[in-house]
Amino acid sequence: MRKLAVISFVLILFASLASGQSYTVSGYVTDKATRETLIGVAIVIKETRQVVVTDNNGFFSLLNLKNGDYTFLFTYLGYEKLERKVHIKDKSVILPETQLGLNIITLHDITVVGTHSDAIGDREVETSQLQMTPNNIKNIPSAHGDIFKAIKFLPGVEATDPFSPLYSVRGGDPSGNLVLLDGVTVYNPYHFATADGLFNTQTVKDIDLFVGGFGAEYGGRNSSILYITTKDGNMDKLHGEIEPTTTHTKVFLEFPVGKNGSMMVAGRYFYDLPMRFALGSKSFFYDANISYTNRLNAKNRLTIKLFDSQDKSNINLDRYLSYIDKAFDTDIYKDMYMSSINSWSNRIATAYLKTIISPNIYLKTQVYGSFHAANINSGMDFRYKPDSTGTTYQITNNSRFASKINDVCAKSAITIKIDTINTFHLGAEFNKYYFSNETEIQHISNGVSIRQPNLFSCFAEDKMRFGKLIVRPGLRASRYSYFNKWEYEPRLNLSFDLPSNFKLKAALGIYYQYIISMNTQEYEISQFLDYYYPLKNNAPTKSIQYIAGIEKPIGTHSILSANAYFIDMPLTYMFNLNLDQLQASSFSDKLEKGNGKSYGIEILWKGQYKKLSGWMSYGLSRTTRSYPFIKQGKSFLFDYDRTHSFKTVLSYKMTDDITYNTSLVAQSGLPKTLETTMQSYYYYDPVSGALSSYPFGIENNKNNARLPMSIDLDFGVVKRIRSGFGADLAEFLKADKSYLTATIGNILFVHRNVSWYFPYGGKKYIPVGFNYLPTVTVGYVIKF
Amino acid sequence: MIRKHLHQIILSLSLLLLVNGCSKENLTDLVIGAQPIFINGHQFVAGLNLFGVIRPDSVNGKSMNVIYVEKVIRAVSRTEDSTTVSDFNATIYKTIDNRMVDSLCFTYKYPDTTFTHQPTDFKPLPGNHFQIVCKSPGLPTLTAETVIPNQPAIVNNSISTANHKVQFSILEDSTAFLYDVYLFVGTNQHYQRMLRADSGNTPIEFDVDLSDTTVNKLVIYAYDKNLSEYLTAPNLFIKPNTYRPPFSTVQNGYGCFGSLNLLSKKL
Repeated sequence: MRKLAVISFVLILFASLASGQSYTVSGYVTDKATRETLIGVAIVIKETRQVVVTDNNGFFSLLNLKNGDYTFLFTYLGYEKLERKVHIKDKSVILPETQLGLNIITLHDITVVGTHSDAIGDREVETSQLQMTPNNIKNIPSAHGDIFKAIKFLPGVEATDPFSPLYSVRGGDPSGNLVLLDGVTVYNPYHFATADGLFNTQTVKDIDLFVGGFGAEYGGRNSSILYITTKDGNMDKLHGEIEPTTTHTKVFLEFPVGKNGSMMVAGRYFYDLPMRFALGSKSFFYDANISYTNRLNAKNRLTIKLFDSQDKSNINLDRYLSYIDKAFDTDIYKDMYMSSINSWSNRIATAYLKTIISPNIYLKTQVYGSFHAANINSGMDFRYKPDSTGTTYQITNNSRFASKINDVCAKSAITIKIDTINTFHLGAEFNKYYFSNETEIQHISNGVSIRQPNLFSCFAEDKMRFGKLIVRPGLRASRYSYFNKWEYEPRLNLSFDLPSNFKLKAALGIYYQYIISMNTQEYEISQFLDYYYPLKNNAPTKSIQYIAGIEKPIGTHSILSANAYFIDMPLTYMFNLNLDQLQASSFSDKLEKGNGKSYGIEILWKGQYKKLSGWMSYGLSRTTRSYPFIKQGKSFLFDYDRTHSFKTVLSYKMTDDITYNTSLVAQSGLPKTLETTMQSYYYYDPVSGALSSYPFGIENNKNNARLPMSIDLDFGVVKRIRSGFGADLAEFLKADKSYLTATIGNILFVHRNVSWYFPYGGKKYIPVGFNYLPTVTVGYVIKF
Repeated sequence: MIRKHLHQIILSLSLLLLVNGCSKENLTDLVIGAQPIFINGHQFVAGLNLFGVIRPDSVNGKSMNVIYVEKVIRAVSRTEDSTTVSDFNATIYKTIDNRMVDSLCFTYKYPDTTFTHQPTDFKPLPGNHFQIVCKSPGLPTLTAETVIPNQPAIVNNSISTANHKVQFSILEDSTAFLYDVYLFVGTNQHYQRMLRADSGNTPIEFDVDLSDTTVNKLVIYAYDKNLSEYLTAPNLFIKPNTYRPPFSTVQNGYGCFGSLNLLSKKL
């Protein structure tokens, strides 16, 4: 029976290939000046009206063409249209690189967000894919050019707390977000001092965020995929950008190497002069990227990328506390010590080869090593005796979290265009891991946990077109060495064109996650990092996602969409870090099983209207969890639940030289555990028998309250400098352009956003936030 | 058009802000900031907050036992409150095989300024079982129990002071769960806190050179289960609004009633 099926399949395949002698035309599309591949270029054959777009490799393939002459029309926003004559005679054609020149009117200063619903590769069928470019990020005033700050302006993506770079997507855990830099998994891709991402936006070409319903190619995470594509380098001439500020300096260079090569070199160094001066802080960070691409021939491209980042922060509040004592003529903080000493690093090396095996077959093979290490220490000791007979107040706390991750991977993916209906996408990936975790809380060590699992995954998808319907069923299969059995993750995406230009999209999928993270947000002022923990004797976390949406273009440059989602999490985990060492001496003893649910709707308008561009979104959602050890297993609001979320980012191009930007986020407050009881905790010195105490707020009812609504409104302006000192300096440095940027943040400072409540106010909870005053930042950028 | 009416818009918004702040409640919120919105309601459970340690040693004839009692209070309250308990009495029972063999009762009444009680009328020995009952008008009766742990012992011939280290092992003992180890070297004090080993003896090591000092003393405090749990409470970070269950090893109340034993040895 099986033999008959195989024979039938082969016959059908040959029949479809042989019928009428059809051929394929494929190739890369690049930027004429830089030779960077372009993602989402629309290619239309005038004679047959066939349409295709370049994928995220900048590659396209058009099938089922007969012998003859064709006119290919290439269009891409911001670039000049290009027509190209193609002649097919008895064989398929791989075109030499099609190079598009920039449209000088709209240039790099374009502020419009990607508007084409089918603009980019398999984005035709993704339900929850959001795109950003570095230009979009620059136009968000309070993002300060950072990817992780910028994505929090997108629907479904929520910040965890004001200081942390971690984010939650559609009610998922922060550890459920996978960050890929050119296909390499990056662990904790954040810098400490500024909560910025590791990625210098000067090096970034494109950013894709899948907030759910992603296909079988991606796995190992339950919530989202953030895929960052960096530049390969300019093949035309030396280009660059330098940006000095009071806190950091950024440098970016790209240049040709030989006849077929290009290179990109970029770096950032952060020195934080204000904090050095005010607190004697010795914090710094740096990151550096190097990329080399060689276009070996028309069919093969080899790329090697290296990345290195290091963070060191050493913050001691002694000087600040002494200022307070001097200012109020007290000695309350004389015997107080509070410090935070942290370091972490990320190192990445990768090489990948993109090969056009035939006009119908595209192969990408990649190897990488991703190495991360972190050591987070915080300590506090406070003693104060108001008078000789009264109680001594004391609070002593220390914690240390250390982790190390080595991830070595080899993977390959092949795309085969069988016919005009079927496109197969197949691949496999092997990861060899090393995880080491160590914690010490209150001078009690939890020991060191070392785990070295392997993970093998393979996937298969078939994207099928039936007129207005596109269906992409897929299957991902994984074998995790600690479980030694296959786990299967079926996925389905579909897209259907309805009348009046409406498009219906839907997705359904099962997602497993084998590597979770420790929830330390209640032990750190702000949890900056995920402390990854590979599961060993526990089943993987699981989520089942149901997504449906509808979208419609409004005019020629904007889209309105609405999505509804339901995410069932039948198995999630949480570390019960409130267990003392006697109750649970090792990490695995503290792991608790639970479940959760998340659902909501998101409405998004994005596009351009005359000189105004950007997006607006509204989300209505709910996310809950349930664990046996919390509230006797009753469901409670998850830490990052926000009922209402309104976000907008708008740019107004006043003139060719001036652009005004604004961003507004108005959201429901986060759930918090508000203390209803004060209990003195006693510190006991067995040597002297002395007792001291500190009043702690205690609460058994998790997330029993909600913070008030938060509102953030920021405003920015970007002005091209054509005269004066700034222009003269640019000219002296032989730069092409210089810009002045200014941002006013927290314009609605009268409405104070609350981050915490202190229950020491007697009759009221005392709200504390971190944005009581507006902020002004000014920057200067030169480009060449 | 918008520029023309900008000042009118600003004025209107300011008036709106002011009007909203007119009531005393709103004005207070405007100054301090908005209060949280409770979803599940308040659940304050009143009770006594006890810290008690029973130990067999004394210093200069003075008992080292301690009983300290307060109460918990609401985190936020419209009426003034204090952790001070104005009136309570406590009875400590010594029991053997659930049979009371001795008891000690003491009371506290405001305005007596003695907050800390140091019972001297009994001498606890290893293995002794003690129960405490604390009562105060209007509050639940707090009860708790403890068993005095054995005196910690150092494994024979395990003390080593070579290589600029002090190393030894504490003999395996199921009655102790946590050790505080103090090494007094000259005028300096070195300290370690160590959980009892999962199995076998508990190794201890200090990076200290004893070669140049003359007066060296080692003191090991061994804690019972209650005190061990209480002293290793994990969530003592000042970050507010965290999920932090009560610190408690007692019944119908808060706090800890535990015991310790100790070994003091010259090196």
